[in-house]
Amino acid sequence: MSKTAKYRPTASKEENQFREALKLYDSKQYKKSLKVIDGVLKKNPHHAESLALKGLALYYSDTDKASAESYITRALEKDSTNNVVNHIAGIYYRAVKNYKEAAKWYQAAMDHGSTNKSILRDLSSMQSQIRDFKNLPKSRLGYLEDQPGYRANWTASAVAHQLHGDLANAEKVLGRIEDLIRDKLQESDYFEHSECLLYRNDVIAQMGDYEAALKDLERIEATNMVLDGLSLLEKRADYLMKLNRKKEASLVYRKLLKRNPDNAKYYYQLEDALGVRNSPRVRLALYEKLASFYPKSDPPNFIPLTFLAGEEFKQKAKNYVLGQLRRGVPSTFVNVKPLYKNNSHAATIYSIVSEFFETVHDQPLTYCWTAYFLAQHHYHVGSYSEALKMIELAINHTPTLVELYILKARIYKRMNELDQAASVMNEGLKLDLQDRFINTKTTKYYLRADNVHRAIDTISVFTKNDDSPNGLRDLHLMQSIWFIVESAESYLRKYRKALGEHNDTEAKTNLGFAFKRYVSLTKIFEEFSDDQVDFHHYCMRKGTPRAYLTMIDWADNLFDQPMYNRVLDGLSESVLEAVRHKELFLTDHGHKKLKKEEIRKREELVQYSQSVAEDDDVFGEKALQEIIRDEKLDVLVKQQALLHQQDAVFTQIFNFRVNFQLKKYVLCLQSLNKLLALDKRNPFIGYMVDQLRNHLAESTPDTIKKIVSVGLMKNFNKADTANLLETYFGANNLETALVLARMSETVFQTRLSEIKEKLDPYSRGLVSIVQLSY
Amino acid sequence: MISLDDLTANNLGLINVIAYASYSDQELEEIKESGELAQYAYYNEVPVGLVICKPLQPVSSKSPAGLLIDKLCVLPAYSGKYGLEDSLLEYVENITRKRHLDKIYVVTEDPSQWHKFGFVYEDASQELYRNLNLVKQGQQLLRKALNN
Repeated sequence: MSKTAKYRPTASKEENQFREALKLYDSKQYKKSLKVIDGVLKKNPHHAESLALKGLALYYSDTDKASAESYITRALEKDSTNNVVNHIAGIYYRAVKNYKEAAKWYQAAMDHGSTNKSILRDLSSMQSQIRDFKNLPKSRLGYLEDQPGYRANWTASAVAHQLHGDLANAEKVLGRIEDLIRDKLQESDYFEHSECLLYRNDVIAQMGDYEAALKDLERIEATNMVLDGLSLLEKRADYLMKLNRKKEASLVYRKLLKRNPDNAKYYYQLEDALGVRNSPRVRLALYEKLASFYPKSDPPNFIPLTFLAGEEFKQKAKNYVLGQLRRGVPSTFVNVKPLYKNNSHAATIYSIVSEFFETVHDQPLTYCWTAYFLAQHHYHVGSYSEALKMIELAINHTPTLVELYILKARIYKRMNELDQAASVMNEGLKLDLQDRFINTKTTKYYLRADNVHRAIDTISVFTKNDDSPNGLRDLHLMQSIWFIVESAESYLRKYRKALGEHNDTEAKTNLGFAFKRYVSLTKIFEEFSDDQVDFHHYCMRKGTPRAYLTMIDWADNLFDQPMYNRVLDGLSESVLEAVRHKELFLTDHGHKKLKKEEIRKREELVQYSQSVAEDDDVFGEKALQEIIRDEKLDVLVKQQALLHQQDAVFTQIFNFRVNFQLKKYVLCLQSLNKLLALDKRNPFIGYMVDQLRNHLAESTPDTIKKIVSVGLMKNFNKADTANLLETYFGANNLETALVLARMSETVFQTRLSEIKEKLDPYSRGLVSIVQLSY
Repeated sequence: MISLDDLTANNLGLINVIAYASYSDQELEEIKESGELAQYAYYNEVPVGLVICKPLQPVSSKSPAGLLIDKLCVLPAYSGKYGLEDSLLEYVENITRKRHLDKIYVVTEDPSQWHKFGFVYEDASQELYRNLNLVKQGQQLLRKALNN
């Protein structure tokens, strides 16, 4: 924050004192700084700069973080055109991670005549963070003008142009600095230079002129300054393909294959370059040749299996599968699993392997891995008891292989014997306590069996536990998403089970835990997003614009990832369940009546279940009560804004569920229509129509009811219940069943029973648990 | 193909599985603490056999009479074919020598399977073994003398 010190003092005594406070602040002596400011404010309570600085010092001194913001706002009210106040406000809002406000006030500081150019650098970081690409080039260029001696500032300006969609100017800026720097490169600049050359080439290619891109590529290659040889080759091949110079491209792909014969992508690209995709004979000949060049690589042996049929397939499959089984490759089944999409291939492979199995009794390990393969086959085609028989054969034969136990547990899981599954996994774990993989699996299986305590105890072997009773806090700190989401889902199931048993206390505790875990997950993703902040500057300095742009893309889709969908699905479920069963939280379950023993147990549970230190709401009780009371669902509404992909299926479902609870039925109608356009058979369409038709809140004004029913007429005029069933609930899968589980009318429940009959036992179990709370 | 290795705190669970036994956690810990006296045998890196021995300590003497093999077992599917037993036995002989001892003992109900490895009958009622209660009903004490 030392930049603030550059402000010139004016003559007045107040100003001098303010300067002193600023100096103290800059040297991190916040408390002393506060004392001086208080002196100024005593004489002149309207001194805006001091008010602002007081806010900042309060924030950093940890004395009174809560009232820090009020000083900032008061300072801005007094004098919102003072650039010192503006700058301080910018610093404050950046510190509290309100990047939009920070950008606004940094900008204001510049607009109101600050001569401190380094503000532009912070401003551009904030603009990048909030994706204000329209204004970004201005601040990047402003800073470049002030500090043209650093390549980082040129790179940053080019990136800004590109993000704003102005490729031509991006290219121009990169070209200019390249010319300026050409003769002055030191060895320490070589990496940056290489990256910038490649970046400029990317920009040229993105403009769509591949001829120019290829020419530029040849130019930079000739300079011998590009260190990333792989990129050079991949780009060259790509451009040649786009320019329809396929013969030349094929030569480059062959070079790439030589570098890495295990990358399946290159084989397919070579096929395309040679144009053999649709002539199976030539294609096969090509692969036979490639397999002889690269005998140790998998793709040239595997890929032909994806396009051969009949006797030829059988012969090749035999060589492929048996070769691996003989060598004792544990992943043989996983390797051929993609071929199982074709039923006749599956049958062929099965007959090859089961025949082979009869001949290997005298080779113990081959025998064992073959039995393992066959067990996986039976599992995959849904014959669980066959699978179990086979894996037991293998385990009795060689009981020391961990993989066998993992599969056995998996079979039990699919049979919905969840406790048994977890205990088998644990047997495997005991064979090798230092194997993290099996530890993780065992933990997960305990969670699936809703034995959260055993799960936490198991994984705590690998966590840093310090003075907590287990690794829960460490797992939160380490952002162990898989663990937290699995435990949240487990708590949600435990909640529903407790509800089914009319055990209100248990239900409430578990729903609260689920909610807490889901909230932690949203915070982890928020942290991911915040983690970008430093890189807007850092990547430019390090000269890694290509990696930077990859990061920007990643972050743009951060909240639309399947994992985050899963988090939001669970978060909304736990919140909406709390609202639907508000009696759990609003009636007092008589804490006073607790016996001593119960109090001790509860305290133990608090210690055991704390996800962060000194949490005053371990059970999520207060938070949920608040949500139920204020009825605004802020916790969910906030999430709606994060979903960038407005055209994603999940977004519509999530928005519908939240808005339906908020009685914003017109918005619900919009989500429904969007979903219909995206995925016209999605079971949620049936759910939404039913909700909007039959389950609007009683208090809904007639006008709204009218709008909704007219809205429904448009697409669903002829959709009666029978029609809904047929169109949206025709599939016999888990997804459909989970939607139906929320619909109480008898016809839907009848259809649900039908689907459940056809599901595997594990999926059926999951549906039954959801039904418990609806 | 065959290799031997020490027991570690993390793989003690293998003992009961390979030996079809049910040692308690404490017993397993003691076996591990005996260090070189216990050993796993691996066939193509899969653990399939194990040997556990301890010094045979006569009541009347200060130094041990030799090493007593407590357990020597190989999973049935791997037993008697690949020389795993031989490797384990050779290992025991080596540590016996290392300790400047010259006899290996075993107590068994099935003496014939030990004869081929050079073990011979030993009278357990000798003064040397008094009060050790080595053999139970139906068992024999066998001994192999090592020539240095």
